[in-house]
Amino acid sequence: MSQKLKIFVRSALAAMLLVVVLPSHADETCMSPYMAKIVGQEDFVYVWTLGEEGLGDEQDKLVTIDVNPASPEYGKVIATLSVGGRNEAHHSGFSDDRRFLWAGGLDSNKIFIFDVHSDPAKPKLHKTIDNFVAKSGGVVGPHTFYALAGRMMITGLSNNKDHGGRTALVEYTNKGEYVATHWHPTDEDLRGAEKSGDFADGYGYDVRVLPRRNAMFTSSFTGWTNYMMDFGTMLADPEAMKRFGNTAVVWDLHTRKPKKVLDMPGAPLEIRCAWQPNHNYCFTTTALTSQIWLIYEDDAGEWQAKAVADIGDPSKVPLPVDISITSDDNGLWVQTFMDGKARYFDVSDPFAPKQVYEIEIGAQLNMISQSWDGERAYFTSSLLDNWDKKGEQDEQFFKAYSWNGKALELQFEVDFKAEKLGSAHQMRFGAYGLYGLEHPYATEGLAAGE
Amino acid sequence: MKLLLTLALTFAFSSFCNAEGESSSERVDRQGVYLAPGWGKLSFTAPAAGTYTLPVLSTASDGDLLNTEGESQSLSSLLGEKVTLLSFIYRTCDDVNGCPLSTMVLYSVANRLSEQPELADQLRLMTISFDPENDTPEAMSEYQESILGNAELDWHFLTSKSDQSLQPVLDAYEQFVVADKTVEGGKGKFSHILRVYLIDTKQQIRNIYNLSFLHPDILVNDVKTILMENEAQVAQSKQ
Repeated sequence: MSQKLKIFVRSALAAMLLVVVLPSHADETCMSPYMAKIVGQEDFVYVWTLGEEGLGDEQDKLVTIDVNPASPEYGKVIATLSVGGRNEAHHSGFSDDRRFLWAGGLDSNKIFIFDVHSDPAKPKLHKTIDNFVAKSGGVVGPHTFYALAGRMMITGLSNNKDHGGRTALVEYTNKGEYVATHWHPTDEDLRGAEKSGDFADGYGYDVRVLPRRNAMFTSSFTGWTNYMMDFGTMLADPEAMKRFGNTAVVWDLHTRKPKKVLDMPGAPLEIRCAWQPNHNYCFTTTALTSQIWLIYEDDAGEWQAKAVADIGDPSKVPLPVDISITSDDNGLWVQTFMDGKARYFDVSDPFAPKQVYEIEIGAQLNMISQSWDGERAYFTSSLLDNWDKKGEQDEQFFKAYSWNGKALELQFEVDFKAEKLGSAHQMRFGAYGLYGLEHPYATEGLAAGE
Repeated sequence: MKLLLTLALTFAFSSFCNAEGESSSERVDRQGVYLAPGWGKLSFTAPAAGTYTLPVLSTASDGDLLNTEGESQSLSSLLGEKVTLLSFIYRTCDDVNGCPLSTMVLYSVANRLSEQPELADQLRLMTISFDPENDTPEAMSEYQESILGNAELDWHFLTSKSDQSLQPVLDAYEQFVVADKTVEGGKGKFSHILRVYLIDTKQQIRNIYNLSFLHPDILVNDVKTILMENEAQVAQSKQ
């Protein structure tokens, strides 16, 4: 390093002091590796919603709910954006610059890219990708949308050959151009990965990364035939019940090569990795066996997986669905669909999670989104169109709670049926400040960081 | 001006890698600030050059820029001859995990390659300012001098005539920048996502780096991977 560069670097290090002492003046976006995060009060929750036959316009839609208590519109649906049909709306995710929200349809395989930066209170449809299956080489069911640098990693759930669970990761640029397909390792083609147990099923579901370990992790669910089948019919079909994933895969993040297939019986779904610098582990939960699993790096640097806790009574199949880890890695929210409960586990010892709280949110429950400070948690109800409960049990809601560390307290709720919106699924947060925009209302007293 | 900062764009902790054998607390500076992976030893072994592929992401766009002499300089005229690492910065950025990081990493990559005669002349660096008001050609010339000193590196420092002429370049490379309104007048400070682009000799973007992966070990091997690919294509064309 040249002497001048050393001086330059020293100057920069010195300048960092200002960042520490005066956080309000920090140029914090310089420091975002993947995505800007809202660490104070979010302004909006965007709910990717399934259209329901006989309800409203029957179309899938992005529903925008104002969640800032300072806003005169607090607690209200302030915008809806229908996309022209039903697609089995499921998950969504922001691009790394958080200007666009990608949302997928598990049945139509369409991907809708919403502009959420021009007017965060009123997203607009920017682009629709309708050739995902052809471009990807036969991947079906775009599920998770996970931002990498300048591109989007999309998990598939199925394929167009047998509509089973064998599938792939598919990479797109932020502009919506196809880049590459990375098939999951199978017994027939391990693609260089080590099969560490009994399974190499090639199934997919969620994806998360730990950049500091150059590691990417995927979980496994089931294919199109099952997720589009009536839930009761599927449960009664022994052959269908065999077609669930039993693996998680560790990948080399940089090269996108699978490294190790880990056994994880019972359909591991959402993956949530720890945030703290030394916490080289991620949690997931198995839907059918109702367990919390830990994927962790052992002392020898090898990735391992271990079931570390039961969720409720596994014999009653409470069906754990979405999970959410707190930003300090000490807590894990686990939602169970069948009994409609939110359960909070103390995971300060990741090898020994302990449930410390539970509450019934509704007749059925799926997704959770919590604020970075953990003080607010939002819940929605829908799992899959054909898996949601029937009749009166088919409640469709968005519920906003506060969390004081001991109990949830309901702040407001939106009845998605009464509002003729549809079935509420995944939530993402929005904020004016992400895009250098001022609130259209006074926010005195709410500032986090004044 | 009373701060109305109801959110902050945080440094995602997942990016704070640890050097082997060090605890995270040892990967902070004396003021207790986390340092991005690029400032220290990479916490894993970078995949070996040539053992992986870097898919084409898009064509690298052109743009109307100014060099340090104040002369018009088309961006595309500097692409294609060599493998290129391109970064967007603003000169007065004082976030050690932002623009200074990308400048240091680019310097380090070029320095390492310059030690290998067969690679020394095959890399070009480009640093483009997104603050044309303050980063005039003269200012960029001084900045270049402060970085390079006597080092002989193929490194172009560029700016633009105005925000209007720059915007198409930022749009094409999806370099999102907003004036930081927490600074009085909103001038001189910017919020932006850190990005560095790897561009091959066919003027195609082959990788985009952010804070988590902006490390000399990774970039050197990616550059070598592209160069090995070029060599393989030349060898194949001779057969």
